Amino acid sequence: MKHILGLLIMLSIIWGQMTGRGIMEKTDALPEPGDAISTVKMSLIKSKKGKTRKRMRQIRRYQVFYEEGEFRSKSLIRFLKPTDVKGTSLLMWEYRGEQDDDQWLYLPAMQKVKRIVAQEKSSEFMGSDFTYEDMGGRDIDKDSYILLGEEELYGASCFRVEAVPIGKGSSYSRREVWVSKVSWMIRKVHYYNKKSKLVKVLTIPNLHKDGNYWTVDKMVMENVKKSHKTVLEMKDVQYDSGIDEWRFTERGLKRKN
Amino acid sequence: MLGVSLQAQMEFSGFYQNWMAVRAAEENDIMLIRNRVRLDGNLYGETVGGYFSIDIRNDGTSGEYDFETSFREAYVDLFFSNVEFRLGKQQVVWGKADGVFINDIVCPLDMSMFLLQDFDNIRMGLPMAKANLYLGNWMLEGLWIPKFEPWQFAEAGSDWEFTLSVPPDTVWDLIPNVIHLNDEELPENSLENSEFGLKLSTFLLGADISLLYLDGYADHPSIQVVDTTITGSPIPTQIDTYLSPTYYRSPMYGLNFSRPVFTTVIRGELGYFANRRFSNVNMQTVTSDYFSGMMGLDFTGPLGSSISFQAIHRQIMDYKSGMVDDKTEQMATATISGSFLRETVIASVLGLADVNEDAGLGRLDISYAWSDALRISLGGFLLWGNEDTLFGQFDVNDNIYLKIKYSF
Repeated sequence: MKHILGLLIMLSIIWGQMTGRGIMEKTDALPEPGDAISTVKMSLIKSKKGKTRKRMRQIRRYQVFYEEGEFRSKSLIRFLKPTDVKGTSLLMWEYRGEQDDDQWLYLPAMQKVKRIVAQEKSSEFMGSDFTYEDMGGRDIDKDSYILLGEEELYGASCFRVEAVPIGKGSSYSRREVWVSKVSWMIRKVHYYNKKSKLVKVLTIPNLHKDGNYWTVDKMVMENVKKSHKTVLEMKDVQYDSGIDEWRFTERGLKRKN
Repeated sequence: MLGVSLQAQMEFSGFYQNWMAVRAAEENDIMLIRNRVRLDGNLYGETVGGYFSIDIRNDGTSGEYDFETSFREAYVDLFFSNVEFRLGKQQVVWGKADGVFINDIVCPLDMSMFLLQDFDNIRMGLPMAKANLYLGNWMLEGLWIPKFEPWQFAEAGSDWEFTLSVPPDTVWDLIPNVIHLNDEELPENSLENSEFGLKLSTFLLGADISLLYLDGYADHPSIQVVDTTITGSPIPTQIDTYLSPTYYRSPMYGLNFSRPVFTTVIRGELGYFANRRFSNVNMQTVTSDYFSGMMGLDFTGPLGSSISFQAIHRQIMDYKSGMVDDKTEQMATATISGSFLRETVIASVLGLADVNEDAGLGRLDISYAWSDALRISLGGFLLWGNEDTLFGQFDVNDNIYLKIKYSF
């Protein structure tokens, strides 16, 4: 009992000294795998006049992360559903520094690999409520942070931090981020447009720890202006399985499995 | 044990499509009612894979090809660490161009509906052996095609039958000249008549580059006069000319490239074709090398639309006076496409113009995804030009179409 009390006192002292930046550094410092494979089910749900319309997409995602060298990461996204786009694949090479990403698209019906330019960050990812900016990682130095307070969320105590972009390069004027005091994982984000109006709410109700890594099981992005939301559910997640480098080449783009 | 493992990884998919086209110039003239069922089977494995695609097609308005079942592709894959083999009927795509075929000449085209079919249905599979060797960013592809197969054209009398261009201003114009076209002569089945190709690809300085070589037959036969008979004596009243389409070898040397520059992708194809045969006004065959090249630009336009432009130049390298074909040909294409309402609506406009002849083809297509499985498309084709041009001969075939596709 003494130990628990001591731990709580110590944690409260630490939290008492936390800054917005310090909290986001904790999140940023969470261990990341060398590579990851996952299947993502994406449900696009539209609600209007009491009626709900649902569309579904499913993708398989392969990612490898580099600690040093020319590349920051490489990823391959393969569409599994719906059937008319099954087999369509997107290969992305992300570089360190300012160099633009390289991207290739494979269209199985045409059996053709097309070089494409990176999508605008504000454009929708696969028709969902997520933009390419939302899906990509954000460098911690691209925002300034203010600790707004603490709140209970999904049964866990969370810090509430405001993140304001430094300079241009974001389609949002600011974000409010809820970070768990236990896992240091983000559990909720409010996105504000350039007119400082709330436009989207991201919630992460389910996550679990798998070995060294936290895994998000489900995330929901709700567009508060358009009565539309996107639910992402992750399954079959594998870490550090040693994905072959060829997966992230034209050979991997064309491979059917 | 292996059989159980393979069976567990078998997957099927496919679609049903109804395509109805109505001639624009006349009321109630249904040009086509096509029902198509496609069944694809995929076999996944670590070291062995396989794929087949069966196409079942029923045309409501054409005569002989009312019902046709064919394997579009059927092959087996063998995967090793740096080498892959694909054996069987397959499609090989070598081009970077959209809607035009310069270096993408490995597989023959189905031109039975000219360029109106979806581009993924135009290319026909060929039985062949393909090997790919991978070393870092380098890839070497080798092909062996045991038997040459020509392009498929529309049946005589159909809407899309190509008219044979008879050389103008011949001496025979003074007397009725009846042209008889014999059946085309295909190369005999032998090892020496087989085709083979090599493709070396790499990623260099941010660019995708491929060098290509195909030792094969030209897509189009040369039309040779095999016999001429003259009726009437002493004054001729009719000449009968017998033509025979003959296929011949014409090696191709090609270069493909594509690279993003800022927000635009620049891509190109350069193809050099040796020993091409051309006709002259006296219906004789003249041989010359031939060049064909394409430069294209792809970029993002307003509202996230995709915009593409392509310029195509073709040239007979050793041009001689009297050749029926022009020394140079220029074509241009433009495509604008965009998706709206969370990718449920896709709209596209395609234009393909023969700059020399002031002829071309245009297509407008708007499709709506009713559900994840059901997509409905409405569109139209416009063809223009003089009737002796490639596009203009089909000027009367402007049409409006409706396609309904259910994927499963």
